Amino acid sequence: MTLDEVTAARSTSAPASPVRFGTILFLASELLLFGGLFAAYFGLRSRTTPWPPNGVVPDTALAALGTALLMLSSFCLARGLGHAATGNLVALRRWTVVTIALGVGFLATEAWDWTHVDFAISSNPYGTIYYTLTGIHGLHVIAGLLVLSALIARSFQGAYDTGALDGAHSMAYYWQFCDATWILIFLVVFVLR
Amino acid sequence: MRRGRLVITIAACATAVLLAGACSGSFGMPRGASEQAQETFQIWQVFFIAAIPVAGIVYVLIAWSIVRYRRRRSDPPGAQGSQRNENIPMEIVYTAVPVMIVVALFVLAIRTDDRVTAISPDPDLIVRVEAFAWGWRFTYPDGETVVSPPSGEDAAEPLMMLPHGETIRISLTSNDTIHAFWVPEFLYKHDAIPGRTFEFDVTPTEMGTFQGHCAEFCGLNHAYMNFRVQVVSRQEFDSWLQQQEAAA
Amino acid sequence: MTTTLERRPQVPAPRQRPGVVHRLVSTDHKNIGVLYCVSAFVFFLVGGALAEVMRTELMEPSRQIVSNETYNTLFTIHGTVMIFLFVAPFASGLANYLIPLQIGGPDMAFPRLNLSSFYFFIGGGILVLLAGFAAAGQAAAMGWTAYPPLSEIRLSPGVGPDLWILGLVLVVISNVMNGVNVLTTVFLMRAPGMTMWRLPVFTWNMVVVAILGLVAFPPAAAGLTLLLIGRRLGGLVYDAAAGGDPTIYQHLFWFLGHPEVYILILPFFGAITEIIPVFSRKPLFGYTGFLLATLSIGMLSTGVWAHHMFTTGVIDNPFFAAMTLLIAVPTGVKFFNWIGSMWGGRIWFAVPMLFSIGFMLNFLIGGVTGVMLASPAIDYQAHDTYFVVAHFHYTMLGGSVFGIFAAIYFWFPKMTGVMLSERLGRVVFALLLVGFNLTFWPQFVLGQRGMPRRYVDYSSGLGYDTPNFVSTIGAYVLAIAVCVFLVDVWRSLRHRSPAGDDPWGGYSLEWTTSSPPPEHNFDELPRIRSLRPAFDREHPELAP
Ligand code: HEA
Ligand code: HEA
Ligand code: CUA
Ligand SMILES: [Cu+2]
Repeated sequence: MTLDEVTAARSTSAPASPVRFGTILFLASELLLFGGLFAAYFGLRSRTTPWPPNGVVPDTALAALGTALLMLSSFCLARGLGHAATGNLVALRRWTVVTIALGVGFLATEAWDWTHVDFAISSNPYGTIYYTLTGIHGLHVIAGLLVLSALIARSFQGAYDTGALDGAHSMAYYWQFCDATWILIFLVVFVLR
Repeated sequence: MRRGRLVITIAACATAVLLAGACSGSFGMPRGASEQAQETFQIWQVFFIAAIPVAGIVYVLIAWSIVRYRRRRSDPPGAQGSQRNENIPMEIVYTAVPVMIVVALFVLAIRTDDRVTAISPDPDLIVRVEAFAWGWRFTYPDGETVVSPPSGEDAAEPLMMLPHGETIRISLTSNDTIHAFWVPEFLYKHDAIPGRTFEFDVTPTEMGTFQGHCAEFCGLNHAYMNFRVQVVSRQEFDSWLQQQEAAA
Repeated sequence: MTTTLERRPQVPAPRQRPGVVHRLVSTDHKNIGVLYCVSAFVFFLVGGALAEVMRTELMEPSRQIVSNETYNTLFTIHGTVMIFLFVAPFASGLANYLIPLQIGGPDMAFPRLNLSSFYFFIGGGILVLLAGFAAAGQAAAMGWTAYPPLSEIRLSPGVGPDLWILGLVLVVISNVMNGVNVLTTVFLMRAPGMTMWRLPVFTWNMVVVAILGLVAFPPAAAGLTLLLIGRRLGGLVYDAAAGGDPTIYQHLFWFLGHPEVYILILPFFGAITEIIPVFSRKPLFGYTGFLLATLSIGMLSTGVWAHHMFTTGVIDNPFFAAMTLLIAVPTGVKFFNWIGSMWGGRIWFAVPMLFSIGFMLNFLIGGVTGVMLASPAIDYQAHDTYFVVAHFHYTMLGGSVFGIFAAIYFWFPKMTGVMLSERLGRVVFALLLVGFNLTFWPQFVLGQRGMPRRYVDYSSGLGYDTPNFVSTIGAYVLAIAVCVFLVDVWRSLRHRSPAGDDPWGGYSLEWTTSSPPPEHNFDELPRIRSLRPAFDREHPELAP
């Protein structure tokens, strides 16, 4: 008996999609990775005055630009999926490409930030936690871009032709997660300080 | 039947041995050579005495079920036990009673904790203790220090002198990695963490020499980072202090 | 009395032995489960061998066979291997094997993810072993807790600690993947009639374990990442001299470390809770209470971590003491469930039941000594002594490992189709019980007499000599017990005395299919109307 047969044999109550369910669990868990880093951030913050330490000026304006790009990208991706639900896969691809472009734009702001702030990862504990948070988030964004590329590739392979969009939605969750964690980082590191 | 009796005999013997141990009253713990240690010793007794009936009852219940409800040869094959699967009042009791026990234990434990860590407003003597890999530096108020040579297996253990019956403030720090200052007879240890200084009091109530250890793993020679504490009368302490000064 | 889900023309397939390669790449959950269990057991042998070396060194005062450096590596790798590469993966193995069977499903939700989480575990294991042995002169030697500053590059140069960190990160990834898989499987793939309140207790415990893993592992990964960044990229988060704080690591580590110990015990609470009622010929006593206890252990266990830090002076001791003491209550509930399940039964002392009883006897001591450690004042004395070492071996060896043996003897017939020997099983049990208590009871005494842990050496005349000697003898008895067990497995697999579908009169669904189960698990599923579908089918007169 295969998986689908069992799913089909099961009672009528609409079965939740395993892929979506699993992705949500995974992302909830991932959130706690950032939770650990935030805990370290607040631990340091409570022991250091002033905070950020003297001579450290995070570039809030640039980060705000990055936040805007990411939020816009989330919006675009949602539009794309909306079209996919009506069977318009071309629009899905288009919007996803826009999303990727915005994501690359975000990475560019990060790259600029990393090369232009006047403290290094080994300057002080603030520098370490700053680069770690933004760096690990950056890695997630890179992974997210790969995931979105996979989404496009799979749409060309016909994975979504039958209207089974759970995979696409799961991939999108990942991107929205990257966006959401960035907003948290922005609030904690740049706004709240 | 014979097997059942054997089990009961063994259980009885084990209980007897345990009780004999319990009657000595210290339950294996050193009785403590300072005022603070007396407190810890008492809470140890409380916890141990509380544990005896708790564990005892559970053991007796387990032993009873094993002996009483074992499958017997006379049982028909495939015989089932009672099919009862809940007993709500019982379940409430065995949840509520432990709650009461742990609440009581908590109150007592925290009162003891407060007393053990209480800090006197005017200690008679302040000793600064610095832990380093792998040795100890004891600094007395007038600046005489006793330094242990960075130790290896054969290094001499440094000595910390304390006057009997006085309240001594230990001010503890470390300058490389985490160590812990521990004198088993004082029933107290505290970590020495770089970047922080901790203070606690100890009031020795017994003369003599006690072994001290570094208790937090600190690398290669952790096992050799020992020291000794010698508690002496005030006169002896003073003359020792003068000797150290002269030597310095 | 049975609903047939599907009938396919069954050509009685000749049961060939699958080839090694097939076994290594097959995504069948039963195969992965066995892979997990076997590899984990190999890690047990490795970790046990390291422990025997440590015990031999400690048999007498002064140093005899290993250098300080080697000894420090030994306990570092011993602790890491036993916790992250033996007990936890063994539980994952059981979960992989049993959960689909117990819920009446065909496989785990994500078979390929399942196989990759196994390989992440193996990869992590190899890195940890490399950290200990391949890196001559640069081995990891900072304890399984790896506190900075000791684990920083200044005090632990060499690649060993880096490999150790990377290994643990792989283990974290493996656990997260496995957790996602377990939860998705249990929540979405149950057979018709298998409601959450009819879920076998083992599966329920694994649900809580999976949740704990998802909650506790990632923050530890954050802590380890910061450690690695400190070692290799000049990070300063833990560097006190630069304004950092080494205790941040301790918080992140124990936020995993403590839930981890429940990750190590809950699966085996689950296992013996399956076993005890079966051999008592009774239903489980207090199922609902048992589940509530499991859930509250899960919740409480994320709020007690700093009881490992009572002597650091940087935490709120009363809060963590309170949370820690409270956890005794739900654990006690489980004890009473077990007793209630035996009470009024007709207990059959087959080997799985013997190990379950051993579990109770040992774990109770581990539990009440844990309660003693939860009192901050007592912990000031007992912390980092052999008292703690004894406590945690009573819980993890006396508890989890006895549970593992109970589970092996119980489910081995299902997994292989052949029985293990009752006679040898009793010998293993007796040797383990005696050897275990002989090894670790004296360690309580050592702790009280003032012997710190992680000491390669001790002086004669402090009262440490005799207990250490006895303890080492006990450890040798343990080694013999493990050898007898290996002989038992080897012999059983050669002589193959057939087990039949249900040698014990089991309760949950796995006992309704063949041993070993077919590729698709069930040819037909019985109706599920209670906690004990297999029992209901055999005893319609007693069924609800
Ligand atoms: C399987 C693993 C496991 C389990 C289940 C436990 C269970 C418990 N542990 Fe243990 N523990 C460890 C593994 C485990 N521990 C490890 C590995 C370490 C050391 C790590 C290191 O430093 O390397 C450690 C260390 C450790 C410490 C820190 C010691 C120190 O380093 O100074 C403390 C302190 O509070 C503690 C407490 C407890 C408590 C209260 C429980 C409770 O959950 C126990 C509850 C059970 C019972 C109490 C028995 C049954 C209950 C009843 C019959 C009801 C009635 C009882 C009462 C009312 C008391 N443990
Ligand atoms: C589940 C966890 C677990 C288990 C099962 C064990 C099992 C054992 N442990 Fe372990 N132990 C820990 C977890 C565990 N330990 C942890 C976490 C630490 C703390 C580490 C630290 O401080 O960082 C520790 C520390 C620790 C110490 C303290 C070291 C110190 O502080 O200095 C000691 C000392 O006696 C010890 C002994 C033993 C012994 C004798 C066994 C025995 O039960 C082992 C029995 C197994 C065998 C005997 C297997 C025999 C093998 C063979 C027969 C074949 C071998 C062949 C090949 C490999 C090819 N352990
Ligand atoms: Cu200093 Cu251990
Ligand atoms: Cu703990």
